[in-house]
Amino acid sequence: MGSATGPQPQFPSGADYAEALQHTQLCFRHPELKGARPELTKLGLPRAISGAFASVFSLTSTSSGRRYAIKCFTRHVPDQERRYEAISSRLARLNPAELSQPWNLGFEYLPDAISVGRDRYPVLKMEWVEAITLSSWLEDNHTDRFAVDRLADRFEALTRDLAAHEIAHGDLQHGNLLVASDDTLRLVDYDGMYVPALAGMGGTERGHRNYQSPLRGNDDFGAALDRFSAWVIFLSLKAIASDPALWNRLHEPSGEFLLLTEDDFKNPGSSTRLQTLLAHPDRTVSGLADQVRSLVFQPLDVLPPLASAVPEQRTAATTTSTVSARGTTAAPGAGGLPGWMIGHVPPPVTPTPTTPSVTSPDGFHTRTPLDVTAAALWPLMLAATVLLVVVGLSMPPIGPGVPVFAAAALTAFARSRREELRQSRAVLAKLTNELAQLDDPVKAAEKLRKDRAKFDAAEAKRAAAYPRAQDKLTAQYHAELKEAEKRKVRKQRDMDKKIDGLSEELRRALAKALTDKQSAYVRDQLGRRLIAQDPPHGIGPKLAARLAAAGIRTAADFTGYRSVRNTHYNSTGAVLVLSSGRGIDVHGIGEAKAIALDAWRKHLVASAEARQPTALSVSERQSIEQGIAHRRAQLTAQRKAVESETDVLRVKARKRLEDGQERLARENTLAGDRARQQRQEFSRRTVALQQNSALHGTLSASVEAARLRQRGLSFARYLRFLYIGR
Amino acid sequence: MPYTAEISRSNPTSIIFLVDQSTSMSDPIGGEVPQQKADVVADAINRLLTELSVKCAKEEGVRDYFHVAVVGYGATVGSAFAGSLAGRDLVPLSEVADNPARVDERSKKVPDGAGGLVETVVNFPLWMDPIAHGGTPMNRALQYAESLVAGWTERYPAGFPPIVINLTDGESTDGDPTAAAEAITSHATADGAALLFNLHVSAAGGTPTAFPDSADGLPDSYARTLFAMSSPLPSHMRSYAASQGQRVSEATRGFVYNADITTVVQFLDIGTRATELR
Repeated sequence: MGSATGPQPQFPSGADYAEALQHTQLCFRHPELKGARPELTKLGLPRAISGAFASVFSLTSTSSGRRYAIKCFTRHVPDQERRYEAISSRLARLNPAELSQPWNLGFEYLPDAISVGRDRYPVLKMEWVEAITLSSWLEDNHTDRFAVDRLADRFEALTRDLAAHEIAHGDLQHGNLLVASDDTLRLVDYDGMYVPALAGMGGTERGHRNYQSPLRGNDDFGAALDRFSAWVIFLSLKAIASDPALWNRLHEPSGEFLLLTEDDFKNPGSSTRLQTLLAHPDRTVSGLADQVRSLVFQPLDVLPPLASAVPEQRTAATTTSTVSARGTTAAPGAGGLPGWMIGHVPPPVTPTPTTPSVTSPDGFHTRTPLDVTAAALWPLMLAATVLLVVVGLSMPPIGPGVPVFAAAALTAFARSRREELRQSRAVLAKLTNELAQLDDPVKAAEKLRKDRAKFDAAEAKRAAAYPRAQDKLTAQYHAELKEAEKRKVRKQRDMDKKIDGLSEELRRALAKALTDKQSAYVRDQLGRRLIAQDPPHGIGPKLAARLAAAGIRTAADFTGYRSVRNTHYNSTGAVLVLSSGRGIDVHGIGEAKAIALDAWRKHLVASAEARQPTALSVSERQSIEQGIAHRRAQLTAQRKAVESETDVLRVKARKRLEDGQERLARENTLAGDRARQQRQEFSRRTVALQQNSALHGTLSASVEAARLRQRGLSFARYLRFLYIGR
Repeated sequence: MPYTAEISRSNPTSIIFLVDQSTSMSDPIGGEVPQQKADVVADAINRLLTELSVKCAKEEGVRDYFHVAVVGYGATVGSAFAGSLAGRDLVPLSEVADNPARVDERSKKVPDGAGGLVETVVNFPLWMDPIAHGGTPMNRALQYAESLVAGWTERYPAGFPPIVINLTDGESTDGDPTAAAEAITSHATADGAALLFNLHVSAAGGTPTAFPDSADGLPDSYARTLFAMSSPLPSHMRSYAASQGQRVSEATRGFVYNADITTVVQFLDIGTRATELR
């Protein structure tokens, strides 16, 4: 950050190194590097990968054939050698068999390794790793949910490895986490790494701003350094594994972050990105997002390690678990969820089955006396009808069909008194009624779908409107700042002009003061020369007296003469010009006398001017200079004041922005709460609809069955029952 | 705090070089080995473009943290890029990096490791050639830069403001440049007003006046005009200048009078120093 104020040991620039590396035979002494082939750009210059502190070049050793990444430093880092040695020896002691994956890379710090110009500088010689950055890998693989989820678990295992050895990388981010071709992780750039041997030293960097807690400071350095960034990365990977669309929604092309940025951590309340994750239907995602949100305000040393999110012991083998399995693997007794998630997930709803319990009778059973009567009546009535027809007895009120009719009527009556028929009707009525009570599931589903679509559209509109409203606020803020800045520049420029003009003003004031002083002297001298006492040639006492009468006593009383034409005598006369500029005609002063007077005066002026003062006195000068200095001080103060006025404007604009953002965030939170409730309501309706649909099916079937059975109680079936008994 | 915006690919900044190409630029510059001023300036800019390209190089290639224009003024005013970029004004850095007019081979003496020196050949990419012909239409050059600055601040209103670096050896021949300079620095992004730095290259030799904080001690009104036109150095450039051994104060301006060869290179290095690149 270049916060130092004094000269520091100078290091070559990236281009200086690129130039030196064109001749590795000359710039290196190390046997493997001497003569090594650098990878070149298409311009034929060694290709660099540059960071804030160093440029890294790829070199292939001609002696060993091995490829190395050579880090060349462009900036002084205090205790660099000691740090690298401590880190190198700690990493070398790690047992590869105990690591979740081969994430650590070998490196060697070589002091005085490279010659650039007249001096030698250290380099870091690192194994070349064939892998791509996490961000590039996600760009290519974010749709592969399985692979992303597996990578999340591998990342978690990596942080577990680090924590187990009290190592912290210091700058976990998408550029320092590489993914090898077998989809395991490699950790690079150990400049800011903490190992226990470095305890008590300060940090060398603060880490990538889009991955760090807002509370991380320059001096933070210890085993817990990575915790915040680990949660951020884990959340991002899990979220993408659960919902690959989040990558395109929250990540910006070429954005230097995964899903969340520094702003999201600094202002979690107004962060749309964080809100999106918090409101995500997947509980793992929303739970992790909630965790990150809560970590933002906690001091670094109390942050929980990422391992607490996944409490069960994992080995390298578990990193092959699948997407569906991962969401639910859990500690015992935690309801199938990681421990920290308890309280975020409601208990499952147990559906209450509703099944109709009453049934209608299947046919008639057990004949009553009425049934017997009806059964006996039929043969009698049939016989009576036959008799009537044969006898030919035909009475008007009693037709031949009358007995049959009577039998039918009695039978119908007897049937209507049967319990079975009553029961069947009751059941059917009840079922039909129940069915009528239920909504038609098809119609209900259609309505739910429509309501949901409408809601989703409204939500999408709201989601789109929010960043727009934020952008509008920000744009307004920027416009105000810009205006304030312009105003400041304008005002200060005016002040500067005035201040710059002061030296000229001083010069002029001094010059004027001197001129004034000189003319006052000359005037004084002239005033001392009385015409009467020291008359010029040709002016006698008489004329002197006349002149005195006209107000001209000394050389100071007139400034010259003007010739006039005396119309009277057609000759030339003269008027004397008073110091007021008025001409005066003095009797006896003709042109010749006027000329003499003027010459006398001019002579006096010349001699006075020869003796006049040529400089201002010290006090006169000081008084003028003080005046100007006072003006300068005033202007400088005013110029300063412009700065503080601008600050006030900036603060006001900032306040307006923050107020606006707060209001928007509040509205958004409320709307988000409402949306959540509405979504819950939809879910409830969906469950109800599913249950309804099942019930509706059952009821419809029951109604159908009841109808079928009621058909089994028809008149014909009753007649059959009368004689057969079933 | 102004001038703290992070420079990123989504919020890049622009650097506009204005290069005096008047006839007097063929005079020798002050320094140990006499060289034409035009050569020194062209070399310094070519070297700086290489430097920027290396500084912004990442795994996938050079990132467009900067867009760069090199405007020459002399017989004409316009793009000083040669080769395939000829005629272009603001060019994204990745394109600059890939398209030098040519790559020269230059001989250079380097230590041979045994206490002696050995002559080697190094590749030196070139984007502009030295030209010294015509007057010094500084006003027109500044106006050209102003139109670029205006467009840029519209496009990236939240980013680090554009940096205009004027390299000249003489007085403007098309009038007082003050107003045109003010027009440039009146454009601002939310991060601050556009920056204008001036570098006066010496023919006379003598001690350079680098990064002054007042016009006192400047030899003439022309030097004072250039001083007044120059923006104060933002704090990160001030700290960097201090780390390079320059004496700086709060009021230090981006201005050098009577620059020699070393000062030209150092001035460009300080004047193009970026805030954090992400």
